[in-house]
Amino acid sequence: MEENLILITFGFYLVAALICVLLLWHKQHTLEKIGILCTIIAFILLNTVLVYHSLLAGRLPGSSLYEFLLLFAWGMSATYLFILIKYKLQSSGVFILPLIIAVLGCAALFSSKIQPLMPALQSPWLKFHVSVAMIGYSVFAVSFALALMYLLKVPVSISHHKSLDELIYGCNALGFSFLTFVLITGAIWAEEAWGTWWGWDPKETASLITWLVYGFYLHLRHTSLWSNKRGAIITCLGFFAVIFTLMGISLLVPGLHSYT
Amino acid sequence: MTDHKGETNSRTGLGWASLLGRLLTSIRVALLLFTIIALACLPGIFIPQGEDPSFYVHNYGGLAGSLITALDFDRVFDSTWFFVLCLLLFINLLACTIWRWQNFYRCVSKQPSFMAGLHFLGSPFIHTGLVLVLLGSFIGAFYSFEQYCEIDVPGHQAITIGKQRYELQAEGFKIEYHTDGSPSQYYTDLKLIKGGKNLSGKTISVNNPLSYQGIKVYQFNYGWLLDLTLEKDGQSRTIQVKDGDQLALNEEGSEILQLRFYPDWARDEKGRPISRTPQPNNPQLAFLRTSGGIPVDIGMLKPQESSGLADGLKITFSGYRNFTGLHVKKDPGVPLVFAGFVFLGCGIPLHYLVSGQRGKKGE
Repeated sequence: MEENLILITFGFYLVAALICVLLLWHKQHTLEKIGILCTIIAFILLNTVLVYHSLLAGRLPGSSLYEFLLLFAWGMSATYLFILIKYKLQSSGVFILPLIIAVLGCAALFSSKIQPLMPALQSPWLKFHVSVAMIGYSVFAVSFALALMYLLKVPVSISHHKSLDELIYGCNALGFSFLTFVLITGAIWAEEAWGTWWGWDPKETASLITWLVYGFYLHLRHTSLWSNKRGAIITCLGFFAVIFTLMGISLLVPGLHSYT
Repeated sequence: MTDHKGETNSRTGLGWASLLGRLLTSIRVALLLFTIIALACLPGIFIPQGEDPSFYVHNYGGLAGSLITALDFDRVFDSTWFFVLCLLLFINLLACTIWRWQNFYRCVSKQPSFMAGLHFLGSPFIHTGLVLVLLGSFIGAFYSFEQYCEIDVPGHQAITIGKQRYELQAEGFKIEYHTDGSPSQYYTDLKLIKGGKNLSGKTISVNNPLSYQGIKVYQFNYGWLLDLTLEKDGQSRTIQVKDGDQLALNEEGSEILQLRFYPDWARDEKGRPISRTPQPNNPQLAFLRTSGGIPVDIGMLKPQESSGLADGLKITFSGYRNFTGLHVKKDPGVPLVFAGFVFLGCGIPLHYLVSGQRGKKGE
C-alpha cells in the first residue's frame, strides 16, 4: 500500500510540475489553481504515507535513509507551499517540484521495510537531530531552486516587496540556523552514544563543509564583498554539499552514519 | 572580523607585526580559511584515515600512496597543518568576537529598542559560542584521556587517569533482543572504584554512560570469550581467547590456531557457516590450524566437545561467555564545548529570528 501511495503522490507532483512549466509560457488563472490543487493533494498524500509508515513502525520516521528522504520531500513540499501562499511564487515550482519528485524517486529505490532501532539510535536526541536536519535541508533545497531561478533569469513577481535575492538570503539564513542545530544536537548525542562529541566521521565532516559553505555565503552577504550572482552560485554549491552529505556519504563512504 | 578596505593605504607607519595582526583578523582571511578548511576536509572524507602506510601504496599506487602519507592525508585531522589552520581560524574568530562585543556595546549605548538590542546580541553570542567550541576542542585534543577495555563479566580492570588509579568492576552483563533477533540494547552493571571505595555505580547501556566528575564510561560493544583446553604429551593448559583471535601453538609462531565462534550456527545457501542470530541458540566453534600458512586441521566443536588433531594435540571447547567492551573517557574540553553550544543555541535565534536589520546587505 505504501509503495502505491508514493506512486500516486509522485504522479500528482509530476502534474503540478508540468503545470508550473506550462505557466512560464502561458499564464492562465485556472491552470494556476489546478497546479496549486495538485500540489496540495500530493502534500496530503505524502502526509498519509508518513502517518501510515509511522503507525506500522510504532515510532516517528527518520532512522533510515528511506524514511529521511520521505521527510525531506515533506519538508520541501511544506516550504514550497509556504512561499506559494506567502509570496505567490508559483514559478519556483518549476525547480522545487522536480527536486521533490527526484527525492521521492530516490526514496522508492530503498526498501520501505521497517527495521528495529539499533541501540545507538535509541535516544531522545534522534527526534531533534532528524527534525532540524529535515527542516534545514528542505529550506536549503528551496534556496537552491530560487538561486537557479536567479541565475537563469526566470521572470518572477514576488508579493511583500521582496526580491529573489532577499528570499534566497532568508532561506539560507534559516537553513544555516537549523544546520547549526543539526551539528549541536548531533554533537550532544554523539557525546552520549559514542563517547565523543566530534569524531570526524565522514558525515560529520561533510556537514561541517556544508556549514562552512553557507557560513561563507552569509559573511559575503553581510559585507557586500561579492555580487548577488556569486551569492546564488555559492547557494547552488551549498546545496550540492547538502546532497553529497545526505546521499553521497550514506551510500559511498562507510562510517558511523551509514543507516541505509 | 573587520573589513580593512584601506589596508594598502594605511600600511605606511605600520609595523609588519601590526600588518600581520590586521591580516589575521580580516574577514577576507576568515573567508579564505573557511575555503581552505572545507577543501582540507575532503581528503579526510575520501581517503581512509589511520591505515598503515602500506595500505595507501597498495590501493593508490606507489607515487600517490607515498604522497598521501607525506602530506598527512592519511591522518588529516591529527596533522600539524590542519591544527595550524584551525588555530588561525581561532585567532581570527577571537578578534572578530571582541570586535562584535565592542560593536554591541556601541549599539546598546545608542539606546536602541529592546528587540534591536536582542538582535545585536545574536552575532556576538554566535561568535563567542564558536570560540568556546574551538577552545574546548583544542583542550580536548591535548588533555583528554581515552581507553578501551574489555572486561570478562564478572570481572574488573584497573585504569590510570593522570596520576589517579581507578578500578572498573563489571558485575553483570545482559543483552536484550528485538523480535528479529538483532540486539536492541546491551547493559553492564558497573562500578567505578578508587582505593577500595565505591565512587559510582550504574547499569550502563548505549546512550546511557556512567558519569563521575568528568570521567565517563560508555557501553561500547560486546563480544564472546571462549574457554579452551589444549592437551599434548600428557600436559594440559586451559586458555581464554576472544572470538576471532589467532593463537600461536609454538614459540616460532609458525603453527597458528584460528578461532571463530558462531552463537547460532547454520549454513547459508552456498553452504558457508553463518550465525542466524547473535543469541547462543546453537553455539559452535570453528577452528582452523595452519602450519607455515598451510591449513592442516579444520573442524567444528560444540561446547564440551573435543577433537584430536594430527600430531597428538587435543582441543576441548570448554565454554563461552560474553565480555563487555567499555570506552573510558575524560575530556576537560567538553564543558567549554557545551557552553559554546549554549551561546550558539541562543545566538542563532537572536540574530536570525529577532527582528533587526537582518537581510540588509553590508550590515
